[in-house]
Amino acid sequence: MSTNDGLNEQLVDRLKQGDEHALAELYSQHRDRLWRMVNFRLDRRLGGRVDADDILQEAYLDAAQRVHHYLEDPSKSFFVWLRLVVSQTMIDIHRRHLGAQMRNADREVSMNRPAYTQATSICLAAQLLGAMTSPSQAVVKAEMTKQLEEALETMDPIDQEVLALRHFEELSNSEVAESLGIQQKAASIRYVRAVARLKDVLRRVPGFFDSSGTSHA
Amino acid sequence: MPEPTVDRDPVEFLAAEFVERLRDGERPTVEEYATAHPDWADQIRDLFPTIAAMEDLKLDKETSSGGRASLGPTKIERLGDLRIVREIGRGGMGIVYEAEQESLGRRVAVKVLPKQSLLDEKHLRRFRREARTAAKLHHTNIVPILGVGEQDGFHYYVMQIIRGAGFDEIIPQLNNLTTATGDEPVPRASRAANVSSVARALVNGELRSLARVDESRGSSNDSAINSSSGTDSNRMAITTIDPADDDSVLADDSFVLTGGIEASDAVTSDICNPPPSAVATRFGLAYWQSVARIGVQVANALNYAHGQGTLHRDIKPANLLIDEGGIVWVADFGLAKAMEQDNVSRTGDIVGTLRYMAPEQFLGAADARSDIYSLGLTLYELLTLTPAFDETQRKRSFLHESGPLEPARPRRNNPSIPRDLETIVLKAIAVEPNARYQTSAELSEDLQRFLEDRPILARRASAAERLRRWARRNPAVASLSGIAASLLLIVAIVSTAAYFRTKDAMDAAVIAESSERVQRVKAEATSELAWDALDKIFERLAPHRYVSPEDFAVDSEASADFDINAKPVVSDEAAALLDEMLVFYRKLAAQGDDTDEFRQRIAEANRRVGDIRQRLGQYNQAEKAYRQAIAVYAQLEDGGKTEPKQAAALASVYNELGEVLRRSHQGDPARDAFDSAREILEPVVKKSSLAEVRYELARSYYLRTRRDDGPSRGPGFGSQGGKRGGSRRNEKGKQSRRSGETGQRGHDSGRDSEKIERAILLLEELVAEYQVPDYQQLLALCYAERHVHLRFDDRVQSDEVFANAIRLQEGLVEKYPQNPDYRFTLSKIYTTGLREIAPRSPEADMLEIEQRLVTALDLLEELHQDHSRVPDYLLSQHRIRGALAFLCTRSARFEEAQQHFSELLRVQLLLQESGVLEAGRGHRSPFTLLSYSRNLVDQFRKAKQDGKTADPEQLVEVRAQLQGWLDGRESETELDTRQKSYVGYVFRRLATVNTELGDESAAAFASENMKKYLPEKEWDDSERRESRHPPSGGERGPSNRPPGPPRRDSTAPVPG
Repeated sequence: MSTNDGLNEQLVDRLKQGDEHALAELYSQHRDRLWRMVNFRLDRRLGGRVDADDILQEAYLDAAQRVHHYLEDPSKSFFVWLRLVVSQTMIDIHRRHLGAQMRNADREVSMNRPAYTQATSICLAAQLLGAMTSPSQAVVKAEMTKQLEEALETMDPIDQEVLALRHFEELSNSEVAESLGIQQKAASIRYVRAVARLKDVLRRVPGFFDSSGTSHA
Repeated sequence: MPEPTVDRDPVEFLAAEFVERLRDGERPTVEEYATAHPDWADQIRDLFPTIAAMEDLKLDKETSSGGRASLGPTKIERLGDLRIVREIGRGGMGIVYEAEQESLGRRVAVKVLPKQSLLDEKHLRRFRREARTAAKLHHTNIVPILGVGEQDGFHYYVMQIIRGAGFDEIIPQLNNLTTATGDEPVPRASRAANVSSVARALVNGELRSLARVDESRGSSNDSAINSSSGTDSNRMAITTIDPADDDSVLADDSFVLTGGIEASDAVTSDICNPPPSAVATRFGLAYWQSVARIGVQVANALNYAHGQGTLHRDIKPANLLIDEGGIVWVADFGLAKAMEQDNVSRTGDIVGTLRYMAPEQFLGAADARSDIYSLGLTLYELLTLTPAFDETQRKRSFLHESGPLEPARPRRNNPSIPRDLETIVLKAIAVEPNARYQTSAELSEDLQRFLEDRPILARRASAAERLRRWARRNPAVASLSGIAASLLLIVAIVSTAAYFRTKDAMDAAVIAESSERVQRVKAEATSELAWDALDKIFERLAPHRYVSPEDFAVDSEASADFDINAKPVVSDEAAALLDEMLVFYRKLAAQGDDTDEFRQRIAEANRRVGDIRQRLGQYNQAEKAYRQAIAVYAQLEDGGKTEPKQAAALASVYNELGEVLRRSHQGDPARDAFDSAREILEPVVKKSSLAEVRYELARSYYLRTRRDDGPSRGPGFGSQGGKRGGSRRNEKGKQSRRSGETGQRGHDSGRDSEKIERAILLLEELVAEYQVPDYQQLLALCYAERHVHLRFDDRVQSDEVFANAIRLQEGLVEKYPQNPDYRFTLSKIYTTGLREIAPRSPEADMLEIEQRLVTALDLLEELHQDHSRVPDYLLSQHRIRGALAFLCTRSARFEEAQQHFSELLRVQLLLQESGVLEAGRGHRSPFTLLSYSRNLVDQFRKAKQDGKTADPEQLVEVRAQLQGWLDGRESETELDTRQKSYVGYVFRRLATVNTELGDESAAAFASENMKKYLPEKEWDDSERRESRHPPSGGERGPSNRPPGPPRRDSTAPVPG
């Protein structure tokens, strides 16, 4: 995060100088947010087999192998690069486990630009409904999930992505801009717009504001 | 810390700050921001709550990803005295680690709960309380809780580590054993091999302590009591496996499992393979005994805990572990529900949790019997190796979309399951708690009895009991599912068998004279019960009198293809069941109940089999059953013809018989049957005013005279309309001897209208006296008939009568909106007699006729939407579409006609898909196709004439269809004359279409073929329509006929 930028620079410098521990330090510094990203985007069908920790572990090895690419062209922030590596690993792992099912485009894991369509809305829907509680709500939830997913799909995909990155992956505005390849200003405006859209969407899902138990008035 | 504000939306900037403060654990309020930034106050108030909600939800989600617990981004390495060794599993509500308790130098299992699961004080208190209670449970078969703790916001509890496997893992292994083929790859995971070796041991009955259970019966309870008097540490010392043993006990230490872990899929399904030697294993008695022993152990544990006032609340395979010694361990006692609180939703793991839950738990009520239920379902799964319910069933039940469920009888799929064991399990999972074992001790006792080959105490629920229960739970079952039907059959068989048992017992008891009286009373009671059970089932499956969608005798140009083959709502399965049940009736009768009363019941049963066969379109079998019923009636004292009720019943059978015969195109025997009904009742009605008698008599009048209204003949509306169904289509050349005569009878409208008048008289009285909807409906139908008779004599009166018919039937529809039969009849009334009316009507009336058709069509479409499985609704639509298409073509509204035709084809496809119409069936006539293609050609030509661009697309399509029809004929070796002419017509049309499409060579080819099948005068396709019957002689020149309507003339000679 931005607060760590200074520290990051030092570490990146050490990395350039061939300090093997630097990568590990950098990685563990960003681990929380990387974990969030993986946790958010992990295909539910993999639930029983792979978890975020497994993926992060594997991604670290990938990062170590590929870190020289970053050093050759360190124009991106290191976190954004790491995030990309982890996402690649995650896609590979999905592919390995889900195989042919991956071709099912609507579940394609959305990390790289072209793919963040329905997958993000499904992840978002799952996230947003996570808080419903009682057993009866649990059953209702299945229905609401569907409605919410449909509602979210009506949102601009990039807007969805912005929300996911900002809240569920805890990226900063500039990181969002960098990840999506848009201007900071655009990212900022999009974010506000997306929140407004989301509010409308959630309002359309019956029962959401009654039962989500969110109490920050 | 927010980034610099350059180029950023100020609200976004503030939001970022707001979010960061939230993440830091502060509680900034929305209002605080709104006040501080008045310029953006509105937007802040509008958006920040949603932003806060998202942050909240993220926390929730992170702790419950993918239905499995997660601790968030943190990695745990140590919890107090416990050094985490490794993760050994995770379930819906926590992660289980193997840990070393350093102070004691022993290995334990520790379950760590996600931070957010115990956020609120109330739940936390509850969790601690339950954990304390659970820690006090000391029983051989309960995983001991060694302690509870909290660190860094993580709550956890410590358990003894169990070296074994959960049944959720073992069941798939058992499944593997039953399906293994022997050439499976060598197992890759030794842990899996261990699980499968446990499974194997279960099958072979080799597990030590399992075998021991029955010997040491009761001792487990004693030991539990003993140890509960000891100290906790004692207990721990006794039951904890010494870590030093670990390596020796387990060659592979990955074979470690403990409480409440839903084993990961990777282990159970992907990696596991049975050992190479595995061959499909037959489960024998050893396995069934293993299951019973598992049940005994769990029941004992439950009994002990229940005695301590603790419910488990979440018994399921994943919570039952078996160690290598064969001891079954119940894990997570009481804690499951305590800690998960709302876990069901939190993990999204609805299925796993609901699947084993007792019905009353859905409603929030649970007691000891709920645990018994869940154990019962688990045992059920061990017997059948499939869950008793699938998730959707359970969900629907939960949402009250269906009643509570009873699973299929285990022995149904695997008869080798011992009957007694099945009885025990079914009793444990009775829907009503009162019908289950009331205590776990009772369950344990019965399982023990099973193991010792002593008679079990559970009785299969009596027929009456089950019926009562069933009826209570299914107050308004519209249609009976296959499962329910077979369930009922079981009921009937059981009760009947009970009767025979009692009777045998009675014979034996003749010796002991004193008890004979008692036994006889008992036997009679059982017999009555058996009869009642059988009757009730029949009532369900074949309601006594269904007002059936009668008239689906199909005959129209559009639908001549269909032999009547409508599949009604009832299933073949049900019919077969009923047939089997007839055997029981006969057996009962043969057992000495050979009195008139029972004969009547047998007759009635036969009649109902007939009814159901009729609904199934199995007319031959229906006819047989009805005749059987009639034969039984004939054995009655007076031939069943004097006593009014019996006479009405007999006449009713005759009426049904007539219906069946009519539908199978035996018009004359059909009329004879209706006459028989009438002849029986006419003398009776003079003496008796019994409603049934009058109704049945009216029905015989109506049936005898009513025309086969269908708008079906629509496209025809031919000049010779009005023929009765019976003689109309004597298929297979079975021309009736009396066909000439029949033709005349058909025109004898004078006699017909007289009969209808009499029917109306009877019914008007009945309707005035009784509020029976069927009476009103029949009256409405009679009115509809009468309006046809009057139509050309007294138009005013005719219209009035028709309006009456509509009004009456609409009243029924309004009153019973749920009953589709009434709506269906209404649609029929709208189309009654149109076939006869249309050809004689002046052009001015055509609009009215068309409107009636459209109204009927609307009704039918609505019906089809509600009841997509009833083919009659589609069949009628099909006919009406044909009629409408014809009317449209006639008035040169080609596009409308086209629409109707394509709808007609769509409906036809639906009918074929549902199997009501067999695609490409041998004698399928091509008339739909011919009309359709004719219409297209007309349109195409008209477009060309008008100088518009004609789109050949549809023509190309229809060409393919024509070709397809011809291809369908290739498989038929022998074509009769009629079929040959059909082939000829299709070739002729194919030639025309090809010509229009400019494909001259294809046209010539088709034309050549056409000439092989048609006589020369039929070669010209310019004006003529195809005739339904083979060309035969010169009386049928094109000039004889009005353009359009094909002739349908049943008197056309049919060769053979």
